[in-house]
Amino acid sequence: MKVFNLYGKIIKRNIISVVAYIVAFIVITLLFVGNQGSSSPNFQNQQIPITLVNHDESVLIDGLIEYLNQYVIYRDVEDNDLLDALYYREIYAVITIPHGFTTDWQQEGNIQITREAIPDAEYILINVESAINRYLNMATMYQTNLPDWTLDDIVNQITIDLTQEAIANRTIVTDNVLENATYYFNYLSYVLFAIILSIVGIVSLRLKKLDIKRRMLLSPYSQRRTNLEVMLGHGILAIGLVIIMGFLSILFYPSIAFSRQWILFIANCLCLSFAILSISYTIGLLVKGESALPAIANVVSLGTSFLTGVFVPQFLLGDGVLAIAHGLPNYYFVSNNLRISQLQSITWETTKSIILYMGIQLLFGCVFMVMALFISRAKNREEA
Amino acid sequence: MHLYKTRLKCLLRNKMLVFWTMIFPIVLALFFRMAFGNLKETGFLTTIPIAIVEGNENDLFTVMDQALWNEETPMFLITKTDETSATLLLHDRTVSGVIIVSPTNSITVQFQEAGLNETIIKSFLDQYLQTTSLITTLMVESHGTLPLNLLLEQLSIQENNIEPIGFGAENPDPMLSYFYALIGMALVYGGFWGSNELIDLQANLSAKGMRVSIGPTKRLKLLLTNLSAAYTIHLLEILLFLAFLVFGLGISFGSRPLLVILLCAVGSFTGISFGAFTTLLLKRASEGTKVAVTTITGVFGGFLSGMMYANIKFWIMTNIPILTYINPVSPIADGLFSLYYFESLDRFFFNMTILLSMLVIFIGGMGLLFRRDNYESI
Repeated sequence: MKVFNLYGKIIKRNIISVVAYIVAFIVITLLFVGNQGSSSPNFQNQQIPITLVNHDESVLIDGLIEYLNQYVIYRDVEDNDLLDALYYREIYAVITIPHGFTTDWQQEGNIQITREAIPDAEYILINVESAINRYLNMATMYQTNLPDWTLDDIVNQITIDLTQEAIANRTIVTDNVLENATYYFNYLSYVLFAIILSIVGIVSLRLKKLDIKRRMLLSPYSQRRTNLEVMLGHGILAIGLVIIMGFLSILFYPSIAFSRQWILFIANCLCLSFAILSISYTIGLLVKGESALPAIANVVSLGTSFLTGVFVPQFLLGDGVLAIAHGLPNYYFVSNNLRISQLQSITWETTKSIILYMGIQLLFGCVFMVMALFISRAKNREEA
Repeated sequence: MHLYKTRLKCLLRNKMLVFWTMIFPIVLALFFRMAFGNLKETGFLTTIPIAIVEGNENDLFTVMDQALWNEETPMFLITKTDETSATLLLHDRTVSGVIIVSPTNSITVQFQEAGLNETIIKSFLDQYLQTTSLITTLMVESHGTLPLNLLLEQLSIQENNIEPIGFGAENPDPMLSYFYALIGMALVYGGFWGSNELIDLQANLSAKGMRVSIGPTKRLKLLLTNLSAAYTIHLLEILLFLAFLVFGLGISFGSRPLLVILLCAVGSFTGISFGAFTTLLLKRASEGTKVAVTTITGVFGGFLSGMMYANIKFWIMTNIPILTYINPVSPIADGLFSLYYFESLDRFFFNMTILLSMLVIFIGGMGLLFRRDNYESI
C-alpha cells in the first residue's frame, strides 16, 4: 500500500487548508442556523418591519394604521436613528404621513404620503404600498360618489369592505429545518469542490512527474495496483468528506438526522462527489505547475457555485446563466437539494426526478472519467 | 531608484501573483455580473405563474389576465385547467398558487408557501373582492343612480398616494454590495504581494532572503523599496480593476470617485501590510499555509461582508459587530457602500478610521518582527 500511504502523506501536508475550509464552512453554517421549527398551515401575509411617522391625527389615518397591521410590523425608532435602522435592515421603510394630509385629501389636494426605503426593498414593499393606495382610493370613491357621508361613515364602510378576503390555504407545511438544511447542503458543494480539487490535483501532479513515473514503472509495483491505490485514496477522500459533513449536518439539524430526506441529501452529496472527483482528476492531468492549482481550484469552485445557484437562488439567475449552469453538475445537485427539502412523501412519482438528477451527476462523473483516460493515454504515448 | 525599478520588473514577471491580485477578481466579477445581472434587469418584478380552475372563474380571469407590473411585464401568467391538474402544477412548483372560484363567487386560493409571490396573489384577490364590495355598496347607497360605467372608469384611474424618497444619495441597486465586497477581497489579496516581499527578504524563508542578508544593501532599505514596488503594482492593478468594473460592467460608485480611489489606496496598503505581517508572524508555517491565510481571509472576509449573500453583512453588523472591526474586507466594502448611499461622509470616515487602525497595527507588528533578525545557522 505504498502509493496509498503516499496519498495519506499528501493529505497530511495539506491538512491546514482542508481544516481551514471546513472551519470556515462551520462558521458560515452557524451564522445561518437558527429560527428553526415548523411553519403554520394557515396562510399569513408576509409582514414587513417598518416605522410609521404620523404627523396627522384623524379617523381616516387611524383606520389606515389599523388596516396596515396585517401587512407590516410597526417598529418605534427615534428620528435620529431612522437612517441607521434602515441601513441595518431593522426596518425596510419609513412611511411618513405629513401634517394636514387628511384635510388636503378631503379637498382633493396633492399632499402625498412619503416612503423612504432601503435599496433592495422595492419589491418587498409592493404589498404595503398597494394596501395604502387601496385604502385611500376606496375612501376617495366613497367621498366622490356619496358626498353626504361623513369621514366616520366612510371609514366604517371601508372597514367592512376590507373584511372581504379570499380564503387562502397552504397545501403543505414547509419544514424550516429542511429549508435551512438545504442551504447547508448547497454551500457544501462549494466546500467539496474546493477541497477535492485541491487534493486530487496535487496527488495527480505529484504522480505524473516523469521521474516518479519512470521510477514506479521500474518498481515491482504493477501499474494496475498503483492506479487502484490512487483510486482507493480518491474514493476514501470523497466518502470521508461526505461522512464528516453528514455528521456535522446531524449536529446542526438533529431533527432530520437519518430521515428519508437526510439520506437523500447524503446520496445527492455522494453523486456530486463522484462528479467532482472525475473533474478534479481530469484537471490534475491537464495542469502543468503546482502553483497554478490553487488558482484553478478557486476559480472553478467559486465560479461553478455562482453560476449554479449555490450562493444566489436559481430562480434569480438569468436564462443565459441557467443555460450555462445546465452544463455543470452542481446545478443538478442544487436543484435536487431543493426538491428533497420539499418532499412530502417518498414514492417513485415524487422521487423519480431526484433520482434522474442524481443520475445526471453520475453521468458527468463517467464522462469526465472517460476523458481523463483518453488524456492519460495520450500523455503516456507522448512521454514514451 | 534602480532597486525599485528592478523590483518592479521582477514582480511583474510573477504571473501567479498577477493572477491572484488582478485576473482572479476580474474573473469573479464576470461571474458576479452573470449571476446577479438578472437582479437589476428584472428589478424583481417578475410575472407570477398561477393556475385558475375552470368553472366559475367569470370576470376574475379577465382582470388577472390584464393586470400589468409595467408596460412590458404582466403580473400573472395564467393556466386555466381542471382542479387535479392545477394541484399537480402547484406541487411541481410550476405555479405559485391555484385559484378556485365557487358558484357563490367566494374565492379560495391554495399555496405551497407563504412567500412574497403568494402574498401578492392573495393581495390581488382581496382587492378584487373588496372592489366588488365597494361597487355593490355604492350602487345600493345611491339606489342605482350611479352608472356602473362611471364607477368602473373611476376605478381605472386609481391614484398613487405615495411618494418614494431615495434612501441616501443614489438610486437603489441591489447588486452593488456584492461588487463592493469583491473589491474589498481584491484589496486584501494585496497580501500576496506583501507576503512575497517578506519571503524574499527573510533568510530563514527563502534562498533569495539568504542572498539578500549577506549583501551590502541594508534590509530596511530593501524592505521599503520592495514594498513600494509591490504597492505601485497592486494599486495599478486595483485601478485597472475599478476601470473594468466601471467601464466594462457598468458598476456605479456614486459621485465621489476621488474618495473611492483614496479608500482603495489605503486598502491596498493595508492588504500588502497584512500579508507581510502574517508572513512574519507565521514564520515556521509553509508557503502554502501563508497563501491559504490570505486566500481565506479574502474569501471568508468577503463572505462576511456580503460577497455571497448581501444581507449577512447587516446581520453581522447587528449581531456580531466585533467581526466588522477585525475583518479587513469589511471597512472597505462598507466604506464604498456608504460613499454610494449616504450624502454624509460620517460613515465613510468611520470606516477609514478602522482601516487606518488596521494598517497601523500591521505595520507596527511588521516593524517589531522584522527588526534585528540574526541567524546563527539556517
